[in-house]
Amino acid sequence: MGYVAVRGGGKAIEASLALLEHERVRSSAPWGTEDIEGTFPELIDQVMGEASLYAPRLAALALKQAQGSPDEAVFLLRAFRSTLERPYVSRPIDTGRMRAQRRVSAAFKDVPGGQLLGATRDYSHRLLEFDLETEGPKELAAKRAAYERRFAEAAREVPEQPTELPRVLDYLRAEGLVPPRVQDDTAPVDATMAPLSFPAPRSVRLQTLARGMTQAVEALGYAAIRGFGSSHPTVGELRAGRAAVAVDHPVSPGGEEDAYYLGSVPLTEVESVFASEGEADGTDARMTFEVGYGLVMGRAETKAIAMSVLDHCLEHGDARFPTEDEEFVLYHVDGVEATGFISHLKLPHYVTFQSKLASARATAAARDEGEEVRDAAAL
Amino acid sequence: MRRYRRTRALVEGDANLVREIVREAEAAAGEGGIAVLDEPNEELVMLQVRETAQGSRFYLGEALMTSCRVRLAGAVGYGLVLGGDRCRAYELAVADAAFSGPDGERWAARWDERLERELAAVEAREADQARRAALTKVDFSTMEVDL
Repeated sequence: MGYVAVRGGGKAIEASLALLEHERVRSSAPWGTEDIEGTFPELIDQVMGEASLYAPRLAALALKQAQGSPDEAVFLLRAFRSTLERPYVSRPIDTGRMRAQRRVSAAFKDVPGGQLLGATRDYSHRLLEFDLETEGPKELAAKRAAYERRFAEAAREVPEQPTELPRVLDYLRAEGLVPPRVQDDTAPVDATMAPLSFPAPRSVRLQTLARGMTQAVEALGYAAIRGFGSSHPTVGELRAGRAAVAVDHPVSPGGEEDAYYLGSVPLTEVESVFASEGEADGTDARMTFEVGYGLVMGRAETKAIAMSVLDHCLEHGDARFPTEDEEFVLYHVDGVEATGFISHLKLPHYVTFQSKLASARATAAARDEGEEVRDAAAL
Repeated sequence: MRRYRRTRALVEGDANLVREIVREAEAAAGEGGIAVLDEPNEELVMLQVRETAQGSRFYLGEALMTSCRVRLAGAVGYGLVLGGDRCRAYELAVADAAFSGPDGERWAARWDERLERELAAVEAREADQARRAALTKVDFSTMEVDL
């Protein structure tokens, strides 16, 4: 069945958009993008991660325009992204050289470089702080100065820290319990340039999960652990910090030392370990570990852990579990596709529904007619 | 100093340093001596990463950047920086052309010491951040239990 174009509603749509803008300006404070960036940094990270575009100022602008809706802000950023050219691809970012601000392991208590909690809510009491209701510029400035003083003084007593932290799982790799890290230079496929096809290359899987809707990735990762998957992870290492972005000379690319440094981006990386019971055919009964990988923009660490779970699930591909079915997972984690498809359901479907209605009425009429015939025969 | 360390010093360091270099380059080149081949323009760079589970590469997503291309004394320079700072992209392009051109060694002799100092300041700032993060390092102690 084809689509039928209809006209009308132009004035209503115009008025609706004006009303939307009226509602925004009626209740909005004159916050600039800097205020939004500074007040909601983790929301900015979420929007950038799902939009697959690192641009904090634009993410703040999108959130302002979207009146705080992350879905809409992601849509706006993705639309903006499609208007720009992309002439550069970075050199492969080495997360091992990330200057970590946070690094923890659930697998080992004592890890070289230590368990670095960084700024985390993991051990907070989750009580509402009512003081924040009246926190004004003066209070904020006073708190900022006090914390700055406290950390500047305390940091002076701390010895020099290593610039790089060794990977926790390298211990298991050294023992042969985790597969060694190899360098696979297969050119990655860009999931934004071609429709998904299955089986998807590993690069497409990881890109799709990294730009997936945060709550969708987390929900599917949770389902995989709870029983709709076959494995339970231990977070071998979670590290967060900034990593350098560099590109080669556009005409005469050289080595790393001749590349251009463009700046740095905040990343959170997770390596999860999963116990493996050896080869299914019984050729090797040794228990070893497999690694699931998660990497996201910013501080979306629950999403990064869930991504590492789903990466492991998709590597296995056991058809019994939906979370190991890459078509099920990859098709449904994209926020713009999911919200776009669901929300289109409220748009006019008059003709299709009329068709269904006509069929239903015809079926009902046929049924009534049949009953009359049966009744007459019974008589 | 090679390009990576130089651009790191100029991007992360005090913005006045690259402006000083540009002022000197503009003065040396004279009027019309610097040709802007591509005006500063917002573009995207794809962030390519290497994952550590299997060592493969994938695209994490893109980052907004600004680029500019200039010609100075026969050398083409590129200014590439994350974000939307057009002035910075132009300044970086001029500096790149100066250091990559036929007079590159002279520029290096004149500025490398300043650039090294700036890079040391950037690294000192990062080291301070690392020491602050180290304040959150867990100091484990094991509870002794009488059995």
